[in-house]
Amino acid sequence: MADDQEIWKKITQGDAQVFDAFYRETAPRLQAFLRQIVGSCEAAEDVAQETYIQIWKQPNGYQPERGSLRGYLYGIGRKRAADWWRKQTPSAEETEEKTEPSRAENSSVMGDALKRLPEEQRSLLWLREVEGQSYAELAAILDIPVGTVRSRLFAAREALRQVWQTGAQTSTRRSL
Amino acid sequence: MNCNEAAEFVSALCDGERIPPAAAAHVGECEACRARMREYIEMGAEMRRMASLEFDEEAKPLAWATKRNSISTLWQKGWETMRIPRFAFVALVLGVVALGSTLAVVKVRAHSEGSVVILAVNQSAGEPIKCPLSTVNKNQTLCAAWSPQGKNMVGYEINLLGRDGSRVQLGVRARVYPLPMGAATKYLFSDFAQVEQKDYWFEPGETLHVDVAGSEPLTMTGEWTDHIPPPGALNSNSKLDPGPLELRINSPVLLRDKKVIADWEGAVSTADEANQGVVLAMKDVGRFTFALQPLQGGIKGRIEGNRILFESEGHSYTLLSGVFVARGEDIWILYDPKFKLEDGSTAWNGVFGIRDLLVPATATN
Repeated sequence: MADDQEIWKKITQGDAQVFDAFYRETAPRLQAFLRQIVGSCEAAEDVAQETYIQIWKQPNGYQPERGSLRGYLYGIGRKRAADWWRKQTPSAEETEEKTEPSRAENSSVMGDALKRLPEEQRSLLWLREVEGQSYAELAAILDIPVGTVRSRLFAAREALRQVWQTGAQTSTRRSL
Repeated sequence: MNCNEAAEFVSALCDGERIPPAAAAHVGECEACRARMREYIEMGAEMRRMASLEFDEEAKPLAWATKRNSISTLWQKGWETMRIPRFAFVALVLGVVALGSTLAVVKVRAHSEGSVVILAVNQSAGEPIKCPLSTVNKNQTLCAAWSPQGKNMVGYEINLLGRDGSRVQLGVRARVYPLPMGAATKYLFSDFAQVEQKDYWFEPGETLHVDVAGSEPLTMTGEWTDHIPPPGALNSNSKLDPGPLELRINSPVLLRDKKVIADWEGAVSTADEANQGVVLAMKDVGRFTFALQPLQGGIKGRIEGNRILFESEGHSYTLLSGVFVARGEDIWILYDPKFKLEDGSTAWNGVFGIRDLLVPATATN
């Protein structure tokens, strides 16, 4: 893809072709990220769609000096996911969890472990380890100071390590 | 330094960060810290492995509506089937498709701080065509329409280029279309790409004459307002209650199985005569013809207030309109999913003659 600033300029000018290319390029990964937050494929697809529609209709707020366009996209997506959660009733949340596990869930101890972390830690780890976002980009996406990113990442890794070890031990015991 | 103090730096090392020498020295010698680092690395790799299973190969195609103020392309079939004179039909189409009179617009005085110019482009028959152009919203700076001018049909595209105090700079591309209209005549936005743009400074409150080769000049007036009026608010017929024959579709959004698949934001189409229908087309989605009379091969749908509900090929569709659609509850829809827009446009809408598409009267009795 072309340079982020160039793409952004065309999006703000209403260039549907460029926006569609941006959507096709980024949507699969954004949806995977959102699945970690909202817990179901269908909800992630809905939230991703709302995210792109928001950017298409009101393209504002991206600051190239604060990070990549992809990082900006994840920031909007995360906010939309938070809105999605606010609209869920307790019974709907339970239904979502039960009816549609993520694709890799059944075969992944890691999937289970991640689900036990608070949303912010889950997002932080996913964006760092899977998406390779820098500390500055993580700060922008999560709306926290850059200096805080290192300690939050450490806390998230430790939390995951504890849960992961427990899960791995449980699996081992089950298989014996 | 002990392991607890070094732990955060172990995490930072995994991110490719530099750490203080004391922490680096401790990690180099401490087997527990190195084990922690190996675990962190392993967790990261496991997350990426899991993520690889989560990624879809392709995103579902979605259509992004081109942000034009008025999207109107005439459908060839309409020209073949019209009973009323074609010339009058054009005026009719543009009178309802493009934006109409000044009701409900909050006007501001010329030379004031308004940010929107409402251009009124005169035509030979019917009300002037209204184009709202914003000096601040980059998505609302373009307007295109086709209208009769004297003995010709003139198509034009107006682009707001900039502002200097109380006047605006407009880039205008205009061209003449042959009359009488043939069945194969089409109106495409891409037509304007072949025409040289002429730039004009325009002071709202005054009259601008735009020369058009081979035709009488276009004349337009304008005024400042403080906002872009909502779709349909500039129409001459802007009552909330639809007329007896009216089919109104304003700024519609189409859902398939409860997912948004198309958004014609700002598009206004009102059919208000017998034998007229509204057509909406969207790239990668297809073309929909809506009519209040039975259409050959059409699907019968249902109107519920501002919604049109119908089913096709096992999918349920809901078209949400910004206004009440019609007085009755019955509506017919022709859906052509293979329809392709010809000129690279993303979307268009229009009002068309549909006589040849109607179920013959004897068949409905």
